[in-house]
Amino acid sequence: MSGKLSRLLSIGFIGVVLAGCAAQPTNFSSIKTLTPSVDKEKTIALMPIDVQLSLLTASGVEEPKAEWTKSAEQYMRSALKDPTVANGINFVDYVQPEKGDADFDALNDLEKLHGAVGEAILLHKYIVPLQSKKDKFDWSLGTTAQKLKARTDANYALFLYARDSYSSAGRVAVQVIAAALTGYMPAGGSQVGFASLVDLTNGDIVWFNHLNRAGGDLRTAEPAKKSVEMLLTGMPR
Amino acid sequence: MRVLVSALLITCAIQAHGFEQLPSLVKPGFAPSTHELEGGLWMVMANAEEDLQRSPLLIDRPDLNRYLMDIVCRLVESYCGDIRVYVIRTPHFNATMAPNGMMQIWTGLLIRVRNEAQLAAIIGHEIGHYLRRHSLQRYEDLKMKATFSTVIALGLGGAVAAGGVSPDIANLASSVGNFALLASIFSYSRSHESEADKFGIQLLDTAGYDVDQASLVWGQILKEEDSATQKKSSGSLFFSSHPSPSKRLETLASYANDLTEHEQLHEQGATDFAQAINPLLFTVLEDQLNTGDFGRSRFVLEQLQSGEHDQSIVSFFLGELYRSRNEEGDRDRAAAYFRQAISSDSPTPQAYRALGMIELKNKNLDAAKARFREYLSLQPEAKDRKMIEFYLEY
Repeated sequence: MSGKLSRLLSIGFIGVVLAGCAAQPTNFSSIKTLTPSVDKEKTIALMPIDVQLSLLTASGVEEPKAEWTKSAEQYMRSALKDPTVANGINFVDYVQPEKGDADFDALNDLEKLHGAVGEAILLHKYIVPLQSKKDKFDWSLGTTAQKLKARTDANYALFLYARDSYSSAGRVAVQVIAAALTGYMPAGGSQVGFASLVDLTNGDIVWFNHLNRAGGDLRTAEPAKKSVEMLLTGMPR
Repeated sequence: MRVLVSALLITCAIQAHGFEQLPSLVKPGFAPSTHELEGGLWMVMANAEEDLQRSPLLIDRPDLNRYLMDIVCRLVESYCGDIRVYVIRTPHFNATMAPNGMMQIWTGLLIRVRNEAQLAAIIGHEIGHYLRRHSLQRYEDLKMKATFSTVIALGLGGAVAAGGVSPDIANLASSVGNFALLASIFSYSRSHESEADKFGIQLLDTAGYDVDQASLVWGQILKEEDSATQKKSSGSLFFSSHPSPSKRLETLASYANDLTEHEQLHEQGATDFAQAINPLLFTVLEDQLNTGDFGRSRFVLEQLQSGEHDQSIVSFFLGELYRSRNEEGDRDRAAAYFRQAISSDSPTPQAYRALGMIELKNKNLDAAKARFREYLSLQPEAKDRKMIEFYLEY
């Protein structure tokens, strides 16, 4: 298992443990409305969705599910194109550069950087808040983001991240038995995710929202759309 | 044809000596269904592979990759489209295999194996992990043991709830349970390592490589450990995921013994190997010296002296090794190696620079300038050109 994966699993785990006790904090926004592009459209580049679904086995070991993940990615993507969700925003798919492209390294690094920054925000602003980040929200990807602007003609980029797990029958049995015997209920499946909007003129993260709940289901179209709607709640238009 | 002949010879070996060949558990061109557990593991690894392809640590040299893929295809022709080899810039001895056929070879390994047969032994071992589906078995084993552990924990929890056992004792018992479990997970993986060793040597044999080279690798690793300045902690052996090098050496040597009673091609491929490694030898040795372990670096360099590698580079780094240690007499030792480096037909430019620096320290200004001029004429694009020109005007 890669270090990244285990880190994400542990973020999910911490999220699940704390979900019950912490009040859901409001999301962050530093802008009221979006600046339209030259063609007067409010265009947002939609970055590759970082989603992974898994089955939570009896012991709590997560089993990655390729088929579920594939459908979740499709459902989330088509939800964003749904007029009721997009609501006037023109989401354009970002196409990753080919190897040999002059911006190949820079754009790949930018995507990775966002992954690291997004996880840091989720963890240090919301799940386990850091004292030093209590009254500020100053995360930025830096000016390399302008390369993305040049490539997509969009003023903003949206990054979506989701980890969704579902309890197996064995896990449910363990939860019930453990609760009955000890009064403590081990965690079941959960849905953790975030949406992050980056201003491509300076790389600043201008809006961020996160999701952390025991329900939800990205394996089917309607509930997946619901999750996307929840993630986009409060996004500047 | 040669493969077929060798395969038949192995059949004879089975009858005569009891070297039982391990069959592959994967069909050529295999890709799991996305509905199955294996499909899930492949998905995770495909993401990791995409990251790896963009990693700054990836050594992207088409010539070297072709050379490594040729070895893979020679070992397992029908699977050569299923396995991808990536060279990773890390100065230690290691190679890994993922369930989807993504193989990683660390650069530190490339300067520690002495010929193509030794490299093929390692590659064959990794292919063994893939063809014997070890990742999947390990995941399923882990899951089963974790379930078992959960059931034990629930049982103890129940006993505490009923007032039978104090919570302290339950915690202790539970942690002892996990301790034993952890050990058993690693021992399971040690049996995989042994199986992969066996699979590797049988591939080596079928492909016509010198099978004795497989155990020699571990002999070299043991000797390096002896000469290391910073020893690996011996305590970690208990939890080590691999069998001990001496045990592997012994087993592989006995397999080789079973296999070599028949006439075989005994190919070591030292020349091809050195030629494939030479273009990145400078960088890899630089990384090795930067680990700061004098004993290990000296062992590796001295071992390379008897290989067919670019000896000018090897001599240069032996010089660098002593120059940076800087003990009594090291400056002279370094100078001798640098002089050896420039006596080659294709001298390493940096050796002239290093000699110039030593002359400068010895206050032989004219000799230093002459060396620096030679350095710049060989390396006109040198990054430190400005600094060297400053010395020339001194």
